[in-house]
Amino acid sequence: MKPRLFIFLALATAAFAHHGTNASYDMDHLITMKGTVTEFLWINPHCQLYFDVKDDKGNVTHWGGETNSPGVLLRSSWSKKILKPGDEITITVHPSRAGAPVGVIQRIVLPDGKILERGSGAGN
Amino acid sequence: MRTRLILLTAAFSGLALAQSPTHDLTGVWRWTGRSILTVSPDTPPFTPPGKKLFDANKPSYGDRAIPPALGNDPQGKCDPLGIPRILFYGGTTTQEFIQTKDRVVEFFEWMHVYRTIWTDGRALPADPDPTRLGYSVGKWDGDTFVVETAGLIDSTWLDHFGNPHSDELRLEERYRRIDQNNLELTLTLTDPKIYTKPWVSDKKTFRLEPKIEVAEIFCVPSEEEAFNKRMRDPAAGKK
Repeated sequence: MKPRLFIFLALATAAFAHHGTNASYDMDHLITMKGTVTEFLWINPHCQLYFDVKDDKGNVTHWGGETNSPGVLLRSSWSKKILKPGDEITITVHPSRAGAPVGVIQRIVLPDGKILERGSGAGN
Repeated sequence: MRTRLILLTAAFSGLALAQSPTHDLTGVWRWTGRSILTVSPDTPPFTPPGKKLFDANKPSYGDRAIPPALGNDPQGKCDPLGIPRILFYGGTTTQEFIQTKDRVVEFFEWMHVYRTIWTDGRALPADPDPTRLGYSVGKWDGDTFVVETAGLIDSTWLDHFGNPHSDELRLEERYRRIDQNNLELTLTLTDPKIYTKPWVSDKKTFRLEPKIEVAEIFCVPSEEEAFNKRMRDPAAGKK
């Protein structure tokens, strides 16, 4: 068991070396949720999406997702008007290491089925 | 007369061919692959003052990474990265070279900032006033554009990993356009106050991106601060 644990930690450290976001977010794992958009901020240097997620019991958790700057996202099919409050989306994020309801956006499936991928990096 | 004209035209065409693109860096360039965000993986040994400064810097990249909300990286407040750090920022953003008769302007998309590299034959000032981008002069050495920089303020970090530098840092950049679409850069940093020997970079490579227009990618301090409070602080477990 111990050798396996060591290998896992070594791999995690290697990945750590190249991503600033890796200190706050678990870039080795993804979670996918269905949510309703409440706010989309198209600002520099980080665009942000806020959305509500309802669990099986009807409890609502307010989530936030961060991504690149507008200039970078424009090169990846995003735009200022592509997300608006009320949109029902399926969103995949790298979650916070601290367990907070925030993450780095990896993928969004829009109401019309169109897929938005994260840009080629998560900015600073 | 016609023969002379033809010869003259041929001579000018030959001149143009010889100089282009060899002595022309004009265009928007993007890293091929992702930058390693520093000079090279082999950081030279620190001097004692260098080690002290390194220990005081709390980065969000590399083996010492902590969440940005808990660190002290100047980038977290949108402070200018300065030279040389901005040279290593790459992957999603670009940089553009613009050449005029007496200077080369290097424009960095990230933070929307430009530096001037004087090419009119002037020498580096003996003791330039320290600034974040420093004072740069450039000249062609065969097919290589060589840039020398001094006068760098010591409050900026050298790279994303919290490596420091002093105001005695001297930087040499060597840009070589290996063909129409590809550019190589190697750097040598000399800073005896902080490092016990010069730091020579690995080879940085860039590709020409004729279809990309440089976007306005500022780091806006007020928006970054609000972002940290709403997103990065909770992500790090900081309330």
